[in-house]
Amino acid sequence: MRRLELAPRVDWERKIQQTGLIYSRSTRDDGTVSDYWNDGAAYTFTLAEVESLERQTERLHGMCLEAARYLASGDLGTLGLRREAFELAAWSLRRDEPDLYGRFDLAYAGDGSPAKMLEYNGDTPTGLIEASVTQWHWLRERVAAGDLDEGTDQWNGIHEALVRRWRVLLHRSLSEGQGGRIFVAHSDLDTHGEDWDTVAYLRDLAGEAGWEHTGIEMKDIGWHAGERSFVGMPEPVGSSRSLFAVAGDEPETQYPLIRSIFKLYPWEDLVGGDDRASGDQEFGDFLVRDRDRVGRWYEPAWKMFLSNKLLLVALWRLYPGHENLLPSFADGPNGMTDYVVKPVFGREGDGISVHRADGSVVASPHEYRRAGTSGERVWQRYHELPDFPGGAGSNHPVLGSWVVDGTAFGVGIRESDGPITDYYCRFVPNVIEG
Amino acid sequence: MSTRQRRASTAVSIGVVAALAATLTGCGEGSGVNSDYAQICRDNSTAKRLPDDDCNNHAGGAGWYFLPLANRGNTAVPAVGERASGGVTSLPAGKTGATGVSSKGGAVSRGGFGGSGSEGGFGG
Repeated sequence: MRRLELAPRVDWERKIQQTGLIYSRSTRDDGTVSDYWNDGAAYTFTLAEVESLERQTERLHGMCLEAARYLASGDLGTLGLRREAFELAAWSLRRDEPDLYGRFDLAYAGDGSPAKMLEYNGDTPTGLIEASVTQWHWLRERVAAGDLDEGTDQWNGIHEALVRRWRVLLHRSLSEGQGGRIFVAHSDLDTHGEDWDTVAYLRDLAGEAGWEHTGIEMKDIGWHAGERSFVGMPEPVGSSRSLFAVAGDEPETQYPLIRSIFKLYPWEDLVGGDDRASGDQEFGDFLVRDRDRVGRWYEPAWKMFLSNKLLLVALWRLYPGHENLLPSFADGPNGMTDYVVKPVFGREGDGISVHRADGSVVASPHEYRRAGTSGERVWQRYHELPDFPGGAGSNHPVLGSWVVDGTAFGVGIRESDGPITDYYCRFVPNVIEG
Repeated sequence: MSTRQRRASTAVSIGVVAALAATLTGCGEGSGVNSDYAQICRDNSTAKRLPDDDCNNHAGGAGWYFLPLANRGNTAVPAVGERASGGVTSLPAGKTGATGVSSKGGAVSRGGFGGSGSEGGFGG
């Protein structure tokens, strides 16, 4: 893997926004503005490297499924979840409920040595639009402009893979008599717009696959007590092709019954026992109690095993010394002198602290908003990200390797100035060298 | 000539809602396993509806009360504080009761998801 620098495209800010990347710009605490999208660089792979990283990704995915079964045995407790939520995840895993996608974060030195798994975002992966869409359009433009050779390829078949997967899931739903309508939910509490944007793109993909799709905010999901079903917002009778509806409170209205739903919202929050905006009911209990009749949820409940950091511990127990893994423990550093402590839930680096042999500790300024029920943590060996220096200094990349239906389909690379990937990392597109 | 498979998507479209006319949707209405009664908590002396927690906590005078759901969960369920009548105090044999009835009355409660207080989105 190499890092190229290119002159940014003229008018690139407008171009990336046209691809749906509307959350590139952010303002730091000191008032300076930084851009998430880096139009002036690219990482290049050889085809052999891509093939190898695909194999490693798929092997890791298979190992993670094995680790999920191990976690479901209870050997590592209930993973910071309520007992009922843990059992729901185990039930979902036994039922082999279908899923959509996930994203590994991998450290890769770029020299053909094995990638190291940092974690698996199996439940609510984001960073999707820039990987699937924005870098693809970037490639087309760079080729058209002569900046890159005609026929230059990119490790990015994410869009087509997701359409195919949605199509399989649609046919499955129809064959199960559950109809062809899917609700796609995000939380209005996301003020950056990335969640809204991501689910809008996922709706496009579902629509391309043939689903009838309806957007909904998490707080607007309703529970119909008589029907014992989640429902959408009331709508005029006959306003959708789906026939799964019950009479509304007003004449000529209906409540659509939710038979399929994609939610960009963590499972541990859904079933956490304290998740309510203004409602008077604990909906997580319905997910547990009525689990066999509340329809398909994407991602399914067993993704609680893949998005939990104790997955790392399970992997190390099952595959000790594996070349793609870093030593990880649930009960302390176990003799490690350089290690990272992570909360079992947590996203975007919140709650993480890095401990080095010289005694230094760098801790994230934010605790993650949800701790495990017993304050569970994971100790993972610190792994120095490689440096690909450029004109402006150091660049430490992390590979976001996308998995759709167990298969690797592309990568989104984020690089940081320092060796810890933070909120101010930059997304850099990739190409495969001819 | 290279015959290797390309890794890049051949087409990436966004913002297009491709509603395929051929899409079939499921048949039938409702889920067919609806409940027979709405289970609410009631003050046995005043006959006014109480929050469910009063019954869960065995507050004095509070008792479960079952209102028949005549028409697929329709809406003759009173809000907390309103008078509840026309029901029974124990569930008839073989019948099912729906718990989790909105305290505001009506058939549907909302707001049970979505309040975990993140400021920066829920993805990772």
